[in-house]
Amino acid sequence: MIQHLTYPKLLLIILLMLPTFSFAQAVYEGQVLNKNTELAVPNVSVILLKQKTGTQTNTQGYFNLVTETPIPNDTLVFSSVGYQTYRLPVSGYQKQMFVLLEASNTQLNEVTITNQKIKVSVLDKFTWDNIKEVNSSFYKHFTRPFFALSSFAKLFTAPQANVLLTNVQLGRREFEGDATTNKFTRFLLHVQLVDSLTGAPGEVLFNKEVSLTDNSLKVTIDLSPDKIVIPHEKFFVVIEWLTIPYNEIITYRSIGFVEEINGNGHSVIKDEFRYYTYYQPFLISYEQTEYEQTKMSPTWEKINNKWGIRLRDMKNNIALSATIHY
Amino acid sequence: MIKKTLILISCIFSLSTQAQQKLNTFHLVDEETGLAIPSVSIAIVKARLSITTEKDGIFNIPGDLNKMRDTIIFSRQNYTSLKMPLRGLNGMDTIKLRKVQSEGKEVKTSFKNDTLLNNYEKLDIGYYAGLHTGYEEFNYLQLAEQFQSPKAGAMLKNVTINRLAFYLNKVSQYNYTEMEHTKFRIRVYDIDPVTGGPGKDLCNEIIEVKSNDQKKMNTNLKSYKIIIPNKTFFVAVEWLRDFYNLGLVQIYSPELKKTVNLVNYRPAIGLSPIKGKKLNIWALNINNEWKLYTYHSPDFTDLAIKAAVQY
Repeated sequence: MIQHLTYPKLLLIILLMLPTFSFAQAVYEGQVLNKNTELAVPNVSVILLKQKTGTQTNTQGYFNLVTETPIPNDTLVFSSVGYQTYRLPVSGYQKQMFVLLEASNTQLNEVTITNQKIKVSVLDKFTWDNIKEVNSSFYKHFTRPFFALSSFAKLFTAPQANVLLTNVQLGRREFEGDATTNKFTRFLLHVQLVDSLTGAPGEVLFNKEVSLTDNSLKVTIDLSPDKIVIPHEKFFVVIEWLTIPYNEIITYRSIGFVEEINGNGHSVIKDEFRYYTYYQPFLISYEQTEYEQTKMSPTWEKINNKWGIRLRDMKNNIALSATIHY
Repeated sequence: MIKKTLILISCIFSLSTQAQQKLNTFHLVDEETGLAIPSVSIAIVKARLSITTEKDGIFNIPGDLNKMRDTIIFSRQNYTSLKMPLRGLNGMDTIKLRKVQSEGKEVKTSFKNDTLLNNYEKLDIGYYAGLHTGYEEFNYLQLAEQFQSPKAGAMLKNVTINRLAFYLNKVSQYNYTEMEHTKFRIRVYDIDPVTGGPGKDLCNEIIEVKSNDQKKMNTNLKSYKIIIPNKTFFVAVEWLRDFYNLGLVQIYSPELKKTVNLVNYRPAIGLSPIKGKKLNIWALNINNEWKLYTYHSPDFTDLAIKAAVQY
């Protein structure tokens, strides 16, 4: 084939192919967490060293750096007061990655003066590597998107009554397969007590509309200003989906085959496709160890306005945790 | 293709009428020439039905027209719209539409400046209009984006539209992948001084866009020499509601406690990720009235349509 091409034709082909090489936009996004506490680190400066462009992490520790003209072998530098600077060659960047920063020795320890020692506990804790998908030749860890048709509830058990609920953390991911993507979502968060008769979510202690505007995999919803005191040991954290246009995600799937008669009167088998609309957010369902499975919190789902215990796959947990102070 | 469109209409009608029916066939023709008019938009108001005819301008309505209490609207670019009671079609077989006389105009072709209006980053598009509105079918004939040209008397050079398109893996006969096909029309309107919405057409020629392999559809309009008399103008997508563009969308409704299947027509148009100060999206409903399109308000204000003008 190539020997038939004259020099001008070959040159033309090369020229036509040039734009495909030059328009390689690069997107670097992820989250910066404290290596020890796994809490988000805000205000970290993220810089592309050679490119000399940069950004800062937001309250979720999330950064998004887009460059139209990427320079090869550039380095991402993460720096923040109180943390050791971390350098990452762009060749080592992974989509939606977690960057773990280690506190530097010079960091001043926060001084808190209280009459009695406050205990902090994360109920049904999940870690960053529970929710981060890995698909390499030597290690694989897959997650699945989880959404309920209207509401989902997880039962938490605190070590005692009258604890202060300071935050709720959840894993959030994209839908799987070929689907539209958008980083925005709004949903309702409720804290509810256990109904003494049915064991289902009962009296509502607290309501809040949560709005997410970035692609963070690990989302922290700060509830400390709301001063939620839970009067009993057991309580539910409830996520309620809003079926509004803002939460729409569209996907397209084959639904099988249909037989059609073509113009010549012959029967032809054709693929039939259909769009599906789903509503965000998609929480993360992840596989857990056998030991973790024994400690799993019961989950409930509201279907047709009625709460029922989720008949769940015991291997998988939904990434949703509650942090309490007592 | 014609057969399929007719079958579709019959299917929809058969839901509300008896099994044994009379089939009424109509021809849409030009009043002056008597020739068939292709791709006429037909809307039946109360039944919330709308289709576009094929090239032959033929359509069928099954059933007894005398018993139907509804209004039918015929509309097409360059023709005066015709609105009449469905009963009025009884005994007719030809419907004549009157062509709008176009004014001859002299067009200036040398301009100093170029500008791109409503620019956005295509990677940030995450929402689309045209699939459904809540648990109802998307019952609009056109969606228009309102633009503000820097100067009156500018020329519309280029329009870019970002649509929703998936790659389909076809396995029935041959294993191959292709992008969803679509075809639609671009309409350009002046501002209506009364409503502030789209008014009269600024281009008398039909601009039909077809795509088999593009999500971003770029159309060069230079040859149409479209002059924008006022600063405000509109670029609209007119759906061809025919079998070629037909699709189905499925949604579960927690309120209705069931899954709903809705008919839609490609393409769904992207929404601009940039939120403006005011809503710039207008929709032409089944009654042929332009109204502000509020479905995605207040989160989104513009369609993913860019317009390049020279002035």
